[in-house]
Amino acid sequence: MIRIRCPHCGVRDHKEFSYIGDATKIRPPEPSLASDEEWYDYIYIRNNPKGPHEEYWQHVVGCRSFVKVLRDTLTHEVLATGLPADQLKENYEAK
Amino acid sequence: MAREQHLLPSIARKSPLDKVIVSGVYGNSDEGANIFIKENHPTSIVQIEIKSETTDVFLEKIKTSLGIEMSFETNRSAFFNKTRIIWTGPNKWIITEPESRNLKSFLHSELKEIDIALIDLSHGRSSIGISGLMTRDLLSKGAAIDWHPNIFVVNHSVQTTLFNLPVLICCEENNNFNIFVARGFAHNLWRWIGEAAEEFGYEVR
Repeated sequence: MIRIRCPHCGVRDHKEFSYIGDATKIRPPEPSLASDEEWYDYIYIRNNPKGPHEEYWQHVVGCRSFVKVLRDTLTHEVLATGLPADQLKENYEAK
Repeated sequence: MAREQHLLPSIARKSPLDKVIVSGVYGNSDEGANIFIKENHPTSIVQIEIKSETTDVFLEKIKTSLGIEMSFETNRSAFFNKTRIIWTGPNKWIITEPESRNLKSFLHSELKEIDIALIDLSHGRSSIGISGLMTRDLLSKGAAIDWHPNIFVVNHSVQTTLFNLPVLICCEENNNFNIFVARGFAHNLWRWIGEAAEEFGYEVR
């Protein structure tokens, strides 16, 4: 069982959360100016990293907020959690 | 005008546990019941959501209209008389009281100057009250959260799954919890609680 710390509610089982997706992908800031390649990359292209990876989860059963989770894809260890705007990976690596 | 009087709908609210609840003492109760279960019905439940920039006005309005001195602390509730406001998410709360007036209509008129979203959930949620000496032991069978009296203190509230059902749990007094569950799950939760309470001996009120 993975335990995830929701920044609002506290530590809970992962079954209370819904996996949303890759948090490293950033939507093109100017949608109308973005090229087809940029959209293709944003929508379809995903890295498959081995190690710490930033993801969005939603605390569906609790506060219903999005939570950013830094999860080690190799061990499933949750290394850090925070609000969607937090830079978890940079902070984790700086430690 | 009906709106200003905050009248309830003329059709009586029907409990989902209407035919399920049978008062009596059950389980291992030779030395008396250690758990007391009841349904709080009818209960007014209104969800309120505000924009973050209106927080100060909101606090003030809740104080003047309901008499509740609340804070923005997460996982907390506050009450005045029989009305309680429970945190359920960022800038989101549930206001609840034993049904005596149209709570949504009342809040709508009291808070109309603030940009808020009010949703009446009275028809869609059930409120089950559990009290007694072994309450925390009973609830700890159903949810992997910290039930210690120093952690789950009075006025603390959590949203989690209890026996795999999504619930909002509020500690109203020590060993006295109020559980809000979706109406359609109320029967299921009631059976779960009864089964889990058998070893302690329980009384349905």
